[in-house]
Amino acid sequence: MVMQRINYCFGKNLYRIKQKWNPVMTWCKYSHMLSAVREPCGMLQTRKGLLLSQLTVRCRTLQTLVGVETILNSGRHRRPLQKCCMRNELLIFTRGYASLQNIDDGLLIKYLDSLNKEYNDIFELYQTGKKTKEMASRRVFLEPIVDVYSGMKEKYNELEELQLLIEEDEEMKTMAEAELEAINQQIDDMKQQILDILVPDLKYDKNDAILEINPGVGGEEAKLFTLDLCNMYQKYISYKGWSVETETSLSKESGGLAYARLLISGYDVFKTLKYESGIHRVQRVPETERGGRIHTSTSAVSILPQPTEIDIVINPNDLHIDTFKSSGPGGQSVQKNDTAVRLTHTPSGVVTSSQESRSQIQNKKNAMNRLREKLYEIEFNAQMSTMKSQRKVQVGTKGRSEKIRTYNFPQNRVTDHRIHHTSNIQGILSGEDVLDELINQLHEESRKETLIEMLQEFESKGSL
Amino acid sequence: MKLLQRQGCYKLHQITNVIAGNIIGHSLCSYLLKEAQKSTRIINHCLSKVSIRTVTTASIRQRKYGTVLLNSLKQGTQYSDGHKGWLFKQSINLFSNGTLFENQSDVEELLKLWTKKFEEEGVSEPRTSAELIIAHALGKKMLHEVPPEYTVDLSTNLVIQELCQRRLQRVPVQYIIGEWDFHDLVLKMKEPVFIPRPETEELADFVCDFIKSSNLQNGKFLDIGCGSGAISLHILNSFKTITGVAIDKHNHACDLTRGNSRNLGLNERLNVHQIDIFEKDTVEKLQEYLPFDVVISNPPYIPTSDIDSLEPEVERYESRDALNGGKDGLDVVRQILYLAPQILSVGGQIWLEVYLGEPEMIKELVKENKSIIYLTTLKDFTKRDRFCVLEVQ
Repeated sequence: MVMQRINYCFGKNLYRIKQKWNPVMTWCKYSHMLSAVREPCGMLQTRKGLLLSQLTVRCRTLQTLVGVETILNSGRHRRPLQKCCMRNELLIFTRGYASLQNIDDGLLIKYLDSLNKEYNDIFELYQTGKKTKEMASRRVFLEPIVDVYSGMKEKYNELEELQLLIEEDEEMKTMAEAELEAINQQIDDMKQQILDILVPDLKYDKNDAILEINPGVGGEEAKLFTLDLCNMYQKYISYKGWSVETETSLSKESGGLAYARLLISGYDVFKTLKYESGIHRVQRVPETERGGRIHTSTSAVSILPQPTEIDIVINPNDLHIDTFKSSGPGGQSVQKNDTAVRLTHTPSGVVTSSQESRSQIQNKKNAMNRLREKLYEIEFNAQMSTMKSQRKVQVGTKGRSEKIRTYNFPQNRVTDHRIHHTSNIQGILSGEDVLDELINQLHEESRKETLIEMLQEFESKGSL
Repeated sequence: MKLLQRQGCYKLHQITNVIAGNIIGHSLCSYLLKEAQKSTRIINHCLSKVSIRTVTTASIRQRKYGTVLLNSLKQGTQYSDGHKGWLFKQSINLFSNGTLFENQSDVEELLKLWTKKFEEEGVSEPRTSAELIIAHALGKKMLHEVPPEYTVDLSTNLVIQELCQRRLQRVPVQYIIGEWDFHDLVLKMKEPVFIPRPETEELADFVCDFIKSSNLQNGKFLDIGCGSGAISLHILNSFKTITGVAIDKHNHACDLTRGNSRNLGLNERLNVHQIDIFEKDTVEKLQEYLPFDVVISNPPYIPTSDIDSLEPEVERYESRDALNGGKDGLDVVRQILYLAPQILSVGGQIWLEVYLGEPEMIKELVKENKSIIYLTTLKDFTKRDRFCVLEVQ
């Protein structure tokens, strides 16, 4: 697989980017920077151009180096291609693959070898004409890995040759060392690619998400903190270029929030935000406190993927609809103003209702959406609980009761307890790059853990 | 008016006008006015000029005048002679013993009060009725949008009182508050135009699905017996290029449909005509729009024998013509089916909402008919056969 990487410094080389990207996108307005995207030969799988609008927002806010990665060869491998395009480029470029440092190289290569072997086996079987569905999907999964891996092996060979060269020839040493570094860099890149392919997306990663914040212990102070968190996420949402619908209930006493619910839609929303789920703790002197003592309060954040109609199919026959009961023949002969609707999903016993609207059919739609969300949550939780893992970075309900982050105002720091990462508080609460970096680190950590888990499993079994 | 002026009672006229506009509902005020009516012909005359209808809608906008009036009554030394003086005295009495302010209360209390009153009087759906009326008086759609501790000021309280008095006479809530939701649209409702039912919402939804699936987004539809215009407006709102014609026998329904379409900005694509389909020239009147791709109707379908057993809300206040379907409930349906081949294009469909048991009768009706075939019956949310689909061949 041929990969070309285009790295440009934004700002100075704007026009160069423009030229390079011209086949890739339509440049709409300069002031809006990258505002529209066309799929180049169906290769860049962008949804509504959000990838690039995200990039735009980043560029505007960060005013910094942007790495843009694209694959310009054939669209043979959908999977890695999407991966490459969708990765949050910036940090990967600037932080130099921190996530790979703790991984046992030998074990990884052993693992890749076994994958390679498996691929060859499948390929042979393929040629003899014995095809099954599982084989086909496995093959699609393995192909890009094998591709990158063979490239990596070549690089390793080159590396060995170079080392020999260095030992033999003293004069060539300086030149070879520079090349050595370049090759090492390339190998690291390839490892990163393999990592991306190996660690699969969750089923729900592409979904929109529902983020709920509820004040925990600490009374009014917790409600004020809930407001702070809500503002933080709203800023982060606009920073990422997502759209949001907010539902809040204001607390009268302090002006904090008794409840907040954000319906967020956009690109990779659930994937990005999934590690925000958990208890957020705040330590500060509340506005309401006169004695100047520091209080500790909490807010619970939970995040759920938003179901789409395709995700949850509800059979109308499974539904029992309760409306205002009238014994008569209905229709024109009955005139009611109670439009409340209650739905019962018979197989699961889930009940939802709605009486927000004066239109019965609107109430029914609301109740249907709620039912869909509930069924989805059940399914989601079931999937999550089957994920065996000792991971520190946990997703979904498993980590919901766990304290994940402390916002310490007197010491001006935010600590994430899962990865022991500390950042400054203003940066986090402003919901821009500092928070983004924290979230990205969580992702990397999680990816690394998944890979280590995979390797351990591989080690204990001896094979796949 | 001139007469009144000549009699030098202009000021009194003004007062009564404001009273009639704002505080007529208050039990004590109505008593007060009753006394006033008894004692003077002039006030009687003034009151007869102010219809109760204007009270409900106008007073919400101008409720502050109620307070202004009461204040002026309080200080009103200028009205110190004759009947005016009597009014003044009464109002001073009201204020001094605090009766008027007794009712100044929060939403929750009011809701309890009126729910109880409705229950006592045997009004159906006491709780929701009270909720909807109070919410409307506070300028909201539903009561959950108002915090329960919200304190209702005096003038609003009087408005609520007035509106609830009408509910006690079994006027449908929709007519009292003058509007109702149909899907995501808010439509004005006016006595005696038929109030759209939830079944009709379903019918409109089914028709939209049909339009979408058979690519009639640029087509033309006819709504027979449009009433408030609900079905037509929902279709027009769902498809940005479709056009339609809505007809009704009555002018008041046509006016309401026109008003609603204007309010929603959909009037450019909707033609409203007052046409009685039983008249011979119906097809000629519709000539310029022919042929239609689909005909939708929620015709009157209740058999005459069942009409008298209807709830008082329906029976007393809604137009009989929107309900009474003749001896077997199919009079209008028969006429629609008779007209259909002349006004629909080939393959055009007819969508009807009918009474229980009528789909079978309609099936029988078109059995002999060569130009119309019966396609299918759809169920409503109570899972009973409610909607008929027919096609012109």
